[in-house]
Amino acid sequence: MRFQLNVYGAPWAANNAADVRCFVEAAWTAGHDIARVFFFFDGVYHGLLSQSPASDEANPLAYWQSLALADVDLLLCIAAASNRGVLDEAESARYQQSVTTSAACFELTGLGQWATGFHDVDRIITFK
Amino acid sequence: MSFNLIIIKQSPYQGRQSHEILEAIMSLALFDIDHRVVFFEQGISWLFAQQAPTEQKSLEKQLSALPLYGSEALFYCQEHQTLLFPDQPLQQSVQPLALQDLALWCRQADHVEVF
Repeated sequence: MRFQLNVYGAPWAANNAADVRCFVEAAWTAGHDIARVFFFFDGVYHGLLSQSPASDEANPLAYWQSLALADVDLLLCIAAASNRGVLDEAESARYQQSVTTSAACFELTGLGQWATGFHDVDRIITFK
Repeated sequence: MSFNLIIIKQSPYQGRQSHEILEAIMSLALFDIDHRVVFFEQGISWLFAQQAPTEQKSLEKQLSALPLYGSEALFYCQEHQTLLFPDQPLQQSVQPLALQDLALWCRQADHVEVF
């Protein structure tokens, strides 16, 4: 089975990153495929580069980076991210900002990628 | 008949998030993904007529534009409207839907997304 995972909540307001990790591990163990992870609403804060948790706390960004290394697309809604100041190099230049604030393992993209899941995966699972 | 179901159960005017919900629905229409939208519980208050927010754009105007983008199947839960907002005029372009029909749609839909 092929899944799209949606993440709608901010990283420090819920356990959504840990929940995704449990889900992905179980899915892969069972032989399923993760098509993409789409971050929307406050979920785009998962892509914030400067997250710096204490060394004895969970580090969601490190998990996302490991997921990207496993060839899972991590997609931030470009409008939601820009509104919240999570900018890649192109968006930073477009809005004449001085810094890039999104981690490199994430791609900023349109809601079309969110909508794609409605016809190219078997199940869409949302984490809030 | 293949379709996707969007259920809106949160109140409107929840900051930027409410507008982002509409943008997501518009994207389904834009990419020709068959969908039905049902306003449920407090979500029915999205449909109040003559909204006049003071701090942000009117969701009523954006909702009324959804059919122009191709999002035409708009419904509200009839039982919840009767219980929660019996005297409140609603937008006329949205159709009532019985709970038992919504339950059937939840089983029939390819995907169900709840906002």
